[in-house]
Amino acid sequence: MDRSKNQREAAVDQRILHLLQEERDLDKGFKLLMEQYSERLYWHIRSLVKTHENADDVLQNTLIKVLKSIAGFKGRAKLYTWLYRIATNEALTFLKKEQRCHTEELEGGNIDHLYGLRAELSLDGDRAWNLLQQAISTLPDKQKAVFVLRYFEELSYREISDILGTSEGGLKASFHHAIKKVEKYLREAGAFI
Amino acid sequence: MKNEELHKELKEHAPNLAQLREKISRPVVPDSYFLNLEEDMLRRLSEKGGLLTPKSSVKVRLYPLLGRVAAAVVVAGVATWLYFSWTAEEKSKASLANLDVEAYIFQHLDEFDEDLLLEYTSDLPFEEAAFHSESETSWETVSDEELNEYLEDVIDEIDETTLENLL
Repeated sequence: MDRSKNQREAAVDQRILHLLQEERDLDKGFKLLMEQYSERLYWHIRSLVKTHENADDVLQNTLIKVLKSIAGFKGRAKLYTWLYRIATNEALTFLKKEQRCHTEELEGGNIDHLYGLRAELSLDGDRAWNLLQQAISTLPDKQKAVFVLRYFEELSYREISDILGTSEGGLKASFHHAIKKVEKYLREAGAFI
Repeated sequence: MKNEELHKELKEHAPNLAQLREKISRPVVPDSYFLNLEEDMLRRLSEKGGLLTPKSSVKVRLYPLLGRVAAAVVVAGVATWLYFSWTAEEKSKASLANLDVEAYIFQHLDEFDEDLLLEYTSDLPFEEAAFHSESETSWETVSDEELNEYLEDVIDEIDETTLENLL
C-alpha cells in the first residue's frame, strides 16, 4: 500500500520536474506542483510561523524560490525533500527577521502585546494548537524544524536528515530535547490540567 | 507505520504531548485560499518579471550559456592562431640553420651587395669570416689549373702591388 503510494508520488514528482524544466510547459508544471504540494507546504510553514498571513507570505516566497532554482535541481534529492528544505529555510529566515523586529519593540518598552497575546489565547477555541505554537516559538531553530517535521508531518528521521542535512543521531537528540521543552512549557501554561 | 513509531516514541518520552496530538485541530484557513493561491502566485510572478514566461526564461537560461560558448570559441581561436603563427615563424627560423644560410650566400654570391656581405661577415669571428665555409670552398680543393685560370681572368684588375704580394 505504502509502496504503491510512494511509487505514484515519485512518478508525479518526475512529471512535475520534467514539466518545470521544459520552457514551454513551465506553467503546467507549476500548476501540478501547486496541486501536489501547496497545501502540505502551507501547513508545514504554518506550524512554524503561526499566523495565516505569515504562512501565506512565506509559502509564496518559497514557491518563487523553487521556480527560480528549479533549473539547477539535479534530482539527487527527492523533490519533496528539496521543497521542504526551501520552505523550512524560508520560514526560519522569516522568524529571525520577525524576532529582530520584536526585540527592537521590546527595547523600546512596548511589551503589552505579549500579555495581550496570552489573554487572547485563553479565549481561543483551538487552545491546544495555539499553545503548541507558543511553545515551538521558544525552541532554537534546529529543534523547531525537527519538532515540526516529526510531530506534525510525521516524517522519519531519515527523511528529516535529507531535508536538514543533519545526522539521524543528531536529529533524535534534537527531537528529544524539543519535546521535553515543549511539554514543560505546556505544563507550565496549564495545558495538561 | 510511521505514526505508530512516532506515537510510541512520544508516549515513552513525552506522554502528555502524545495525548495532546490527538486533540489538536488545525486552525481555519480562509475560504478558497488554496484555490486562489495559484492565481495570486501567477499574478505575483508576472509582476516579478515573468518567471513563467518561456521567452524570458529562455533568455535567463541561454544567455549565460551562449556567452560562455562564444567566449570559449574566441579564446580557442586566438590561441590556435597564436600557436600556429608562432610555430610557423619558429619553424622557418629553425629551418634556416647557419650552414644553409651560408651555402645560399655562397651559391648566390654575385647577387649580394658588397656592403651587405661585409656587414654579415663583420658579425663573425675573423677566422670564421675569412674561411667559414672552409669545408665547401677549401683552398686545398682548388687545383693549380683552376687557380691559374682564375688569375688569368682577374689579372687585369689586380694592381701591381697586390700581384707582387700574391707571388
